[in-house]
Amino acid sequence: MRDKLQVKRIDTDVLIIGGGTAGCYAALTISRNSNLSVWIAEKANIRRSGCLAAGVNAINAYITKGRVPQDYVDYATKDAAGIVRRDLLLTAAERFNEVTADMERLGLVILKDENGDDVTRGNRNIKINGENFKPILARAVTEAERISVLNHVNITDLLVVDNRVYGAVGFSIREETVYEIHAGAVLVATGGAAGLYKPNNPGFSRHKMWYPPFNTGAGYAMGIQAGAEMTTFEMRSLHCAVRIRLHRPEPSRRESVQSR
Amino acid sequence: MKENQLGNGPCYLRTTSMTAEQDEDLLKAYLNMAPSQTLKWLESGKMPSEQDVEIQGTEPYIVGGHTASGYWVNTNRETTIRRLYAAGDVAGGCPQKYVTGALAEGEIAALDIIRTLESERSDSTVEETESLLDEQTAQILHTYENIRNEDHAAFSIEELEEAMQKVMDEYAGGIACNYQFNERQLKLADEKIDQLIRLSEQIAASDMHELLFAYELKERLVVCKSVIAHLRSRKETRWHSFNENLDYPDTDDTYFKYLNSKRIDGELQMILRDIVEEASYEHTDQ
Repeated sequence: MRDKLQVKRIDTDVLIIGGGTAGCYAALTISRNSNLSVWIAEKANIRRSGCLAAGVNAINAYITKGRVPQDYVDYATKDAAGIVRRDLLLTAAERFNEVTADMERLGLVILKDENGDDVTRGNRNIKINGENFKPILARAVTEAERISVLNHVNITDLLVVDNRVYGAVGFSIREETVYEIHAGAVLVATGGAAGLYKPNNPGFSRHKMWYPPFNTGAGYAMGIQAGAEMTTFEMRSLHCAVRIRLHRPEPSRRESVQSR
Repeated sequence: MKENQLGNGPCYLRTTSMTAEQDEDLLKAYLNMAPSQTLKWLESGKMPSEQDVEIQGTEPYIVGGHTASGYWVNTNRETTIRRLYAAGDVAGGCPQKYVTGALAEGEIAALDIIRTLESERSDSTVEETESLLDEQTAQILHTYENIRNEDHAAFSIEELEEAMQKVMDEYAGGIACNYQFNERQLKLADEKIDQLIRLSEQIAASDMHELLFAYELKERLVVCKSVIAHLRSRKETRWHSFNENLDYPDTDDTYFKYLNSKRIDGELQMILRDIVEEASYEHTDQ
């Protein structure tokens, strides 16, 4: 028998599972607008975790000059052949530009033309220098008050009684420690799921895929197991990507030309 | 993909009409997102303007940032479990949200969490609930210890992961079958994933990092079960080319609905819900 795992208990107002784009920004919002305590549990390190780990070169959901949020709702609705929640699309689209402006205030470089206008790429996109998007967001989180970050802690299960969440349990990847976190509210902000299907590349290079290979569906799985209602898993996401010709291993991750 | 099937492959993105200046822009754009692609162009000595870029379809992913997959939430992003919220790639119903959508959803959920906790902060947990939570925690801890102390594992985590990916590829509409599937294949896929779930109960982890891999396998298997159940239950083809249900090749208006699922007593129950027309949606029947 190995040594038993040590259990640490944390009590907080809010637990955020996953310190990617959504999780970090939620923490920042809570810190700016309340006195609530927040813990973020992240299985990597928030500085370079989630879909923005390697950066992104454009804001692909943006209300460009002359357009309104409803245009975005109509576009996404048509693209998904109607299987969308327009209330969710509209409430998100109404905030696209405001959150972008906030990121710019935090230090993100948004490219401008000679008139000082955003450089657009199509009807819904603007160009940015986004290699350091995630470090900028992570720095703001680190500097904010009442936010504590547990890096390298992987949450596996939600604590739910009578259809109400009371916290979650996970473990450290580096130490033989289990975290039992009790919270007044829990936000799941983990990634989607890559690696369910056989990838394009074999062996050592199998993780060279379009979507981050570290996004393994943990957040979906913990919800499914806790009895949360889930929607539209049959709408799978496929992408058209640069074909990787394998000569020797290289640490690449995301090589998308065009996506759907 | 169709071009490849017809024998017209490989498929290229025409980049050779680009100028040298556009080359520079493209190299820079990739440096901002996928630096290895830039390095590869430089290393090969041939810029995109000198050589078309070969492209291919990826394997399927489940990603709420692009499609509508994920937690069923109300307008404030609260799930059907009280005080549990979802934002970003795990939140369903809001496709094409990308980065700004993830930020926006994080903000929307955060503001509602503040509202909820500031109005009901002092609600203390009853003793009975406390003991149920202790039981759950003990059970989870027990599972961790079992994996750490397992010494009769028949298969490695990696072997089971590969088996899972092969099942999904060949029976649940992966690259091998051009993203197409039928009911017989999906039934087989479900049975085989069940088998792998049973085998995954005996995996071993020699350290905490391997315990992470063990859980990543387990959670993928749980998601596979749900994906298969959803593919089986939408008896139509609504999104052509990347989701061809060969038994039901046409779009069917009966399925102009959300297909949801919920695990009750270990079994996935499917729920068809009407399209939400209102500006605001609240859970009413949980």
